[in-house]
Amino acid sequence: MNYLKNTALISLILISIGCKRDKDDPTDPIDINEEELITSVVLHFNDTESGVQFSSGWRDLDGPGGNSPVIDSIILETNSIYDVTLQFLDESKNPSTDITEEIKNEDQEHLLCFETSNSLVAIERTDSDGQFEVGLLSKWISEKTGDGSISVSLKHQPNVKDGTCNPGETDVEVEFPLIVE
Amino acid sequence: MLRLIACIPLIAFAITASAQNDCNLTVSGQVVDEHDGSVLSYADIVILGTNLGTISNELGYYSIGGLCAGKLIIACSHVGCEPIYDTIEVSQNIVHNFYPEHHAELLNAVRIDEKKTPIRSAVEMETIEYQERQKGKSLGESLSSISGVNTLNTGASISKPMIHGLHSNRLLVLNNGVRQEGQQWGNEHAPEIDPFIADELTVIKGASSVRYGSDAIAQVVLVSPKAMTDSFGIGGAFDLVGQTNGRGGISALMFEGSHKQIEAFRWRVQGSIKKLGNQQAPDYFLKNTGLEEWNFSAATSFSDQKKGVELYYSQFNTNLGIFSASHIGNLTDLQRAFQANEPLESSGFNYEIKTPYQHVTHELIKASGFLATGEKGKFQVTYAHQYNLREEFDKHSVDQSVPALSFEITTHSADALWEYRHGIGSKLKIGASTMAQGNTFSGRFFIPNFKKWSTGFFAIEQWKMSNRWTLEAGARWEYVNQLVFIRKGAEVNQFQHAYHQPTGSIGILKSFRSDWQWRTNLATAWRPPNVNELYSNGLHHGAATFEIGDTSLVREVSYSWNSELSFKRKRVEAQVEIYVNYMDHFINLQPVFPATLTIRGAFPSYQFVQVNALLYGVDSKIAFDILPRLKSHFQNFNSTS
Repeated sequence: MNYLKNTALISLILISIGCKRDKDDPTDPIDINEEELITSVVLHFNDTESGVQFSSGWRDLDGPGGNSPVIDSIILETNSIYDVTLQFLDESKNPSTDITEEIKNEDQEHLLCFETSNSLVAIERTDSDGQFEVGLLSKWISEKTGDGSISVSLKHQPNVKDGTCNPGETDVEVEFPLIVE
Repeated sequence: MLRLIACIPLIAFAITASAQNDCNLTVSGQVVDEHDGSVLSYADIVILGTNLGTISNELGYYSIGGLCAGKLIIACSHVGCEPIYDTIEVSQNIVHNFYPEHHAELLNAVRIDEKKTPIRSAVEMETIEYQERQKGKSLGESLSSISGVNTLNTGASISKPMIHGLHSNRLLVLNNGVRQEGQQWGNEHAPEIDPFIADELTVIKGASSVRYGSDAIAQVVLVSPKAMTDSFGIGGAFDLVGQTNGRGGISALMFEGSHKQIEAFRWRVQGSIKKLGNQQAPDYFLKNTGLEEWNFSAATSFSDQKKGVELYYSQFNTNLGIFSASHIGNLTDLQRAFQANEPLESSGFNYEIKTPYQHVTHELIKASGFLATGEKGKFQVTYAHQYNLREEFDKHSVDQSVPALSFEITTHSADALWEYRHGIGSKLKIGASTMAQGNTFSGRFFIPNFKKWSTGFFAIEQWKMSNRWTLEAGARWEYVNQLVFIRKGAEVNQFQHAYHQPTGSIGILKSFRSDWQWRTNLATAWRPPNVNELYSNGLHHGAATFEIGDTSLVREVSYSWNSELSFKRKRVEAQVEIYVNYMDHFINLQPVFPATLTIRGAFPSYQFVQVNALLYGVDSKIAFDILPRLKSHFQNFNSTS
C-alpha cells in the first residue's frame, strides 16, 4: 500500500499548491468601477473688460454609448479677451467629483490642446508645470466674427511631455460649436 | 492471461513499397508467446505506413491481403508485450510468425525510434510532434506547420491558432484531454497553455471531433503531454532556448519516474520559465513589448492494463507587455499613429513590463480513471477543474497595481466515455459530458457576470469496412443554458439564454496503394452566442474600438464539407484540401457609422450582427526531405468568403 500513500501525498501537495479560486459570486455582480470616468468638460469664461462670467459644458452623463452627449455652444463677443478656466467632472455619481485637481497634481504629465476652425480665436495657455505649459488656465482673444468650432483635448503624456500635442494618449477630446458675434 | 487488445499506438518509420502494380500479395502467420508457447489472440498486426492491418484470431492466426510487392515493415503489438517491428521482403505470399515476449515489464529495454511517424487514420488527421526545432515557439506558432492552420498574431507575444479562417470560440483546444476554458472572446487572448507541456499537437478533422463539443466549427486541436514513462528509474530533461530578438530565452526542466517496487505507479514534474525584453524592429525597439511566463505541472498515475487512475495539475502564468504606441486613445490618435514614420513612443532596450500590460493565470486540476470492460471495451471518466484569471492594466490609471478590469472564470467539467473495439481500426465510442461555469468581473464594464451549464451526449462509430475503406460517423446532442447577471443600482437583473441542438458528422477514408489517402467529410456544428456577443457594450481598450452586443442573437450553425487528398512517401509529403462551409447566422463584428462620440473623442464602433456566410478555400502543402536533416516546406492557403 506504499503507492497509495505516495499518491495520496502527491495529491495533497498538488491540492495545496493549487486551487486558486474566484472569491466573487457570479450572481452578485459588483458595482461597475469605471476608473477616472470623466463625464463633463466645463469651460468657465470671464470677460476681462466687462467682468461678465458664463460657462459652456460638454456633458455625457451616462458615459460612452447610450444617450448622446449634451453640448453647449460657446458664444463670444468679437474683439474681447477672456480668461478661461477648465473644469473636468464626473457627474455620473451623486455628488459629482471634480477631477481637475487630480490633473493639476499630475500637471507634468498633462497638456491641454486647443484647435479652432477659421482662426476665430487665438488661445494662449497661461499656466505652467514649471517647465511646460499646461492649459487648465488660458487666455482667449476673439479676433473676427463668424461660426466655427473649437476642439479641446487633454493629452496624457507621462515621461514624454515636450510642450507639443504630439506624444501621449488622448484622455479627453471634445468639440464645441463656436460663434463669435 | 490478458486477452485485451493493446491500445499502444504503433509508431515507427515506414519504408514504402517500391512502385509495382502487383498489389494482391498476402502475409499470414501466427502470434505465439515466446516464453510459454501459448497462442496470442487479439494481437494488433499492422503494415506501417499503410492502412492495412488486422487482429489475430482465437488461435493466434492472422492474414493481411492487398499488399504490394516490396519491402515492408510489419508491426505486432499485444497487451503486456513490447511491440515487434519486422522488416519483410514481399515478392510472393509469405508466412511470417511473431514471438512476442509477454512480460514487457521485466524488460528495461529502451527502444529508439529513428523518427516517429504516427499511423494516420480518419480520426487524427495530422499530428506534429513538439520537436526540438519547435521549442521556444508559442503554441500557436508551432501549430502553423500543420497544413490548413494559420496563426492570428496580435503583438509580439500573442498568437492563436486559426483554421480555415476561424478561431477563438469556434476552435476547440483540448489541453491534456480537457476543453480549455479561458477568456477566448478576444482576438488578443492566446491559449493559456505552456508549450513545453505539449509533446504532440493534433488537429482533428473528422467525426471524432463531436466527442469534444458541439461547437467544433473549425475543428479541434489536441495538445497532448508526453505519455508517462515506461521504463523504471528516474529520468529527466533540461532545455535552454535563447532568442536574440528580445534578448531572452526559456528554460525548462522535467523529471519523471517509475519504480520497480511499485510497478503501476508513475510520476512526472515539469516547469518552464520564459523571459523576454523589448522586441526590436530594424531601426528601433518596440516599447514595452517584454514578456514573462512561468509554468509548472505535475502528474501521477497508477495503472495497469485493466484499470488506472491519473491525477494532473498544471499552472500557467504570464505577464504580457502591450506595445505602448499601439495603445491609442481615439480615432485622432489612430490616424496619427498610422501616419507616423516611427512609433510615437520609443524606448531603448529593457526587460521592464509596464502598463499597459496583461496578466493571465490558468490552472487545471484533472483526475481521471479507466476500467477495462471485458476484452474489447474500456470505460473512462474525467473530472477537471479550471480557473482562469485575466487582468488588464491600463496605460493610464491612478493605482497601477489595480487592474482596470479583471475577469475570473471557473469551470468544473466531467466526462464519461465508453470505447468498444470491434475489429482492427473499428471502434464505437459512446459518452456524455457536462460542465458548469461561472464568470465574474471587476473594474470597467465589458462583459457581465454569467453562469453557464452544458450537457451533451455523443456516439461515434469508426468502422473499417475493408483494408481500403473506413467509414466514420458521429452525432451529439447538447443543451446549453446561460444566466447573465447585471447590476442596476441595488437590483440585480437576471437574463436567461438556453439552447439545444444536435450535431453530426459523417466521413469516408480511402487508402490507395500504400501511400495515397483520400478523405471526405460532411459535418454540422453549432455554438450559442457568447456572452460578449450578447452583452458587451463599451470600449474594448486593447483594440480601441467601441463594441456593441446584441441580446437577440441566436445560435450559429455551420454546415461544412471538406475533402482531402494526401500522399506520403519516404521523403515527400503532399496534401491538398478543399473546404466549403455554409454558416447560418454567422456571428461577426461589423463596423457601424457614425463612430461613437465619447468624451475621449470618437471611436470606431462595431456591432455584433448575424449573416449567412459561405466560407470556402483550398489548403495545400508539399514537404520534401532534401537531406535527412533538412526539410523544405511549402504551404499555401487560399480562402474566400
